[in-house]
Amino acid sequence: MTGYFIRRLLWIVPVLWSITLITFLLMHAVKGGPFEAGETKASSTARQALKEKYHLDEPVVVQYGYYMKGLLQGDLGPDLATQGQSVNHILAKNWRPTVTLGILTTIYASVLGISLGVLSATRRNSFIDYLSVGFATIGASTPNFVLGIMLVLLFSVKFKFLPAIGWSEDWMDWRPVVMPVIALGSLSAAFIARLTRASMLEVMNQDYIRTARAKGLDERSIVTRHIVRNAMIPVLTAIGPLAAALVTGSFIIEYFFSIPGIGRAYVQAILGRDYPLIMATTLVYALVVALANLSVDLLYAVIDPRIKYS
Amino acid sequence: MTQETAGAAPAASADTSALADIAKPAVGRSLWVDALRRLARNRLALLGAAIILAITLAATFAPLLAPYSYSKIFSGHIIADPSRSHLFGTNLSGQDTFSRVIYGARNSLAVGIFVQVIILAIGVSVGGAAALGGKRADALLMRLTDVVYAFPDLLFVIMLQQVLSGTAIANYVGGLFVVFLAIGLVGWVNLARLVRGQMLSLREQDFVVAAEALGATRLRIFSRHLLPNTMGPVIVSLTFGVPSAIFTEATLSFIGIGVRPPLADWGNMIYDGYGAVLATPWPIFFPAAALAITFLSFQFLGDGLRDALDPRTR
Repeated sequence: MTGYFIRRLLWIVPVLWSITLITFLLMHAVKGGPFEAGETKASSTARQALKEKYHLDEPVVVQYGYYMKGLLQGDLGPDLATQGQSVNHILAKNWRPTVTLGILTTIYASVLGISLGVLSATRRNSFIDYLSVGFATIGASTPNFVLGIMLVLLFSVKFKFLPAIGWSEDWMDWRPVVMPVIALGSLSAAFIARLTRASMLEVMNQDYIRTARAKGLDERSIVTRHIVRNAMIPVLTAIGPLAAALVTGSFIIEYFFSIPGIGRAYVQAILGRDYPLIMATTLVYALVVALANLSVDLLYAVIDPRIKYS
Repeated sequence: MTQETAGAAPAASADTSALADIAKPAVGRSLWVDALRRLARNRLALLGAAIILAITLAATFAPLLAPYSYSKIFSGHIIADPSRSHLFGTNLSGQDTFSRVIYGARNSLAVGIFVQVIILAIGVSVGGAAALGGKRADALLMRLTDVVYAFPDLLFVIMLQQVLSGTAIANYVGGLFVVFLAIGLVGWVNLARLVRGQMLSLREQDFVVAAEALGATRLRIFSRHLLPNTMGPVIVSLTFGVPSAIFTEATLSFIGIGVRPPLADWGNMIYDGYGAVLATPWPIFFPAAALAITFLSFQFLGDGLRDALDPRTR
């Protein structure tokens, strides 16, 4: 099985390579470039000089060659917009908010989603059940930017309690984090809650649960040891695609809350045709999605001994 | 909600009786008639279907239903509250929100449905070919889906739009065609995996093995057994895909990449309303509610279809 996962891990390399190729071709199919007239105030000789400096005057294939050569040495290229800064530097500057947001959101979504799902399944048709099914339904039907607007109206405008936009480098300052995390994670939380509830209900009807009850096991250990553990298996499979959704969602949320992360850098990169930065951010995101997917499969095998990869 | 909670409940042990039902020779009642009958008993799903029908009618007959044009400006009524002359109020430019919500349904539905057409075409072909085309085709196609899966979809949508902007394709359906194409081209992965998984497991099932043993041709097995038995989950997946495509499109319009004003779109209306949110929440409230209601309707219909098409989940 270790062999299987090593192969899967290695397989990420050609996947990322294909993505560099597609991205590169797409980027260069876009009309205009970073140093065309209208994009920058520089004079025509200066623009020509810049194009030469960054090899933009050469055929796409040659440019791709230069790029891949740099990439293999860990050099993501120069940042065309700021000129002088490297993309590595920009990523190093911007990764922290994005990663913080990603981790906190994953925790928020899974803790809230699983607790709500377990609560409503164990207390079926009770008030708590209706409340959490209601939350899950409304949460799932609200796009994250609408939720963002509602949160800002409530907490920033009405109660003047949380800052509407921005980010803080201070680890202890939790206030700017709250709304982005809720806005980004609630849809996933709702989804996880629905899934957990359905999966729990299905497990609760299994024969081995009846056996556990007949043995006289107390309800608490039946729920924690038997029901929840088994019910988590299908929930886990859904977390892979959710990670992808979080990644793409963070892009909107960073834009909306003006968080200086990689997602916002990406928007600026696209608008400014900043080829190396577009490429780098796309690669980073693809890597995150691929790794998330792989770890879910790995976790899946750990939780469910019936699953064997070969 | 009560309906749904009651419905999703006891089921698991019905496995054996469902098998017994299948074993009986079906007399004039196909799977689909049965499914339709089950669906008709699900009130939430019916409600969803009714709302979807209403939205579709509103979108089709928008010029007749909307009191004003989506772009007509009432200069004396900037961000007016809902009133008798402007049921949903007006926006920052003084346009009637009610009319714009109705016209906006056109974009949302068109995106939701056309994207699913693209996803259906690519997803079923790729998934089917992977399942039935032999080991090498399977490996190749699954690797392809890995690449598309890892490609951040929103980023692809934005890039494709930029690539095609200025070409003739960019102007089809008022610029929406590019949005369909882009969302569809990255959205088929899950469906392809679903179709492949479904067909692979069906091929091992006794009734398919029996058909093979009886000398059925490959084409017949595919068209009589594999395809119809795959269609249930496919329809369910597409139904859930509609609202998610609508969300993606609204998000694009919200960040200013999709449909632009003065054209009416729920996403850009929300963005537009955000500019005046401190003065009045109404310009955001109505398009957001329209999005949520559309989403829920498809969700309810999807839940209902899933339960109706797969009796084992009941």
